[in-house]
Amino acid sequence: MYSEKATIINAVGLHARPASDFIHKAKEFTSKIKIENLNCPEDGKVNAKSIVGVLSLAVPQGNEVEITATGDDEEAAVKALVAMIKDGFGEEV
Amino acid sequence: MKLKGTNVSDGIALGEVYIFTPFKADVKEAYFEGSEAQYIVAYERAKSDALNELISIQDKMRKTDPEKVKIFVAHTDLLDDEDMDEEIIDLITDEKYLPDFAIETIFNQYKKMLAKSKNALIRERAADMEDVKNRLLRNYYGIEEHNISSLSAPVVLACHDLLPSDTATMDRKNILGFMTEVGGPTSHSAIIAKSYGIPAILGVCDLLSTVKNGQRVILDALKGEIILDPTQKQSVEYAFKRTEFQKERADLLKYLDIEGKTKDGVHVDIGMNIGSASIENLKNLSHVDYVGLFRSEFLYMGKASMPSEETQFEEYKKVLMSSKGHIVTLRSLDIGGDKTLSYWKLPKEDNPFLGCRAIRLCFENQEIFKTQLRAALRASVYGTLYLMFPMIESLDDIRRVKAIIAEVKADLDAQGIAYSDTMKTGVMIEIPSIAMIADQVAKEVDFASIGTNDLCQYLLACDRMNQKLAPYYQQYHPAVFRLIDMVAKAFNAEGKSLSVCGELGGDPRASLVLAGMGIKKLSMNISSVPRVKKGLSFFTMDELKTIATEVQTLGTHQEIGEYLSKQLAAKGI
Repeated sequence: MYSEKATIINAVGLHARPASDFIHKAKEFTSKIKIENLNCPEDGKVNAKSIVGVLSLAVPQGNEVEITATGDDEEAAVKALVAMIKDGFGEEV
Repeated sequence: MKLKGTNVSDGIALGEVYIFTPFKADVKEAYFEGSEAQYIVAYERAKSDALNELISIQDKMRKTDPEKVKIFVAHTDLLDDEDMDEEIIDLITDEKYLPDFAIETIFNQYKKMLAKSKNALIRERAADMEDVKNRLLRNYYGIEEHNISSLSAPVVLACHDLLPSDTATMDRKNILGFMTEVGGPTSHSAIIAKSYGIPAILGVCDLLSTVKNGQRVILDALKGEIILDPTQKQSVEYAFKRTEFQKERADLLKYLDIEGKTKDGVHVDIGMNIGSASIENLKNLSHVDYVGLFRSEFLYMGKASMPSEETQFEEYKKVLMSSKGHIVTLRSLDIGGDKTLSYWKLPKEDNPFLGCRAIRLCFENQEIFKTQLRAALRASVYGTLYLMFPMIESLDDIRRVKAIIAEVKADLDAQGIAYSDTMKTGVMIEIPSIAMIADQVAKEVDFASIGTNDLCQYLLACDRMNQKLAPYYQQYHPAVFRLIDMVAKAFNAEGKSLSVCGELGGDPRASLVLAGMGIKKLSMNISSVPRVKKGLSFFTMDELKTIATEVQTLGTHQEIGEYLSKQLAAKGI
């Protein structure tokens, strides 16, 4: 298992297009990947490859998330997703 | 014959009815016996057919309407959702659900979950869920798509409801207006109608059992009425109304974004009153110079409990950041009396309007007050925050507020939490007593905003919410203008900022008087902005000063109203 934390910096948060890009990236890996909003632990961990799951977290700008992966490409998966988040999904931050 | 509904998008349409009955699945609870193999295959085929449909729509739209492509990309994501897919397959494999029953079950489950979200954006996705489910089921049954993407003639659409994929692909050129049996102002279809500028009436009971294909109708989406089989006379009358409406709308659009100024170039700040940090409000910020009133009650009302400091902070921050440096005037909690909260039982009063409300309630419940102040102060670093307090009656109130703010600032300092040093504090001028000592008030605050609704109410001793008393609630009563003039002179003498955020500020007639009195900031509902900007642009500052002076010599609400109407008419407005 491998995990890392990252803060959502883009304006709309983990929503709409960023969420779509996020799950598509997650699906490129074979590991099981989970995402959790550390500012709202009561929402639990959701499947990072599920658009409905990620959208329902509704992570706003400024909240910190933790990405956890289990599997053969777990480290690459987490690093790729964290890089996307830190890049603000190529949006205005 | 007339039908009635809720007007959700202004306008008038005349034309023939086209009844749109999209595919509607009637899924029954059903199971199979034996191996699941063929049913999994059927499900996968339905999914891939639906996916192909979505991809071909995306390809078509990329050339004609690239903005819309996002909707269908989002639908593709939903269709491909891992968790839903897994659960559907599990139901087929383990519980022997027939594929359509499995699809219906899982999609409805997730739709319900989305609909429960506190986040409005998430709730809207429920419509997309319904849309995708429909498409998937239709493909499972092997039925072709019947849509409104290309109509042969202009029509007035009639249907039960409109889903996102319907509105995204609809033939806008040929849809003169639409009416549906269900829905209301917050429906997806309402939002779309407004953004397309298409007249629409929703929630028309028994619509589909009453109208017929090809029937002539007049859709009056100003009154929320549908006239079936109109007479020749009615048709002519409404055709004229329609032209007038379109002319007016084009005219107003012209004035929405111009600078607020008089004919001879004297600038007047035109602001917006908002009740939340909604996307629509944030978008409208580009049309105005400042936010003259940011009501904070939305954070407290319609909720299950008191909003936390964090929740408040996030909302205040959002508006401050979106205003890009323009002033945002946040009003502290203004509840009590008639505005109540379900989770906070307040003692019943005989005279709620004269009772323990707004700032008085905050003085009695300092922890709640300080939570809001903390959130506001923390957010102040993100923009230009003006903090404003309602129901202030005396200098005592002002000094007490300032002392409490100082306490909160000291706490934040001790915790090393930043706030803006240039944040301004001010008061609402709505209680006559504070208006009458405006000269003293101006020395002790950074700014003030006149809440003309309550000012008028207290001055005339008239409950503005009581319809029966309407003739007594005289907004143009000379006393109102005299008092406002007194406040304007006092604040101008002290060089302090004065704004109007009550209804008079957004009134095309009264705003002339206010500007003529030297009030340089008028804040109003966004819908009032074009008319006020238009009115001001036709008069020079001297003309406005004359109007303000002349109004002071008139004795009644009626005379003042007529005088102002004449001034506008003389300019052709």
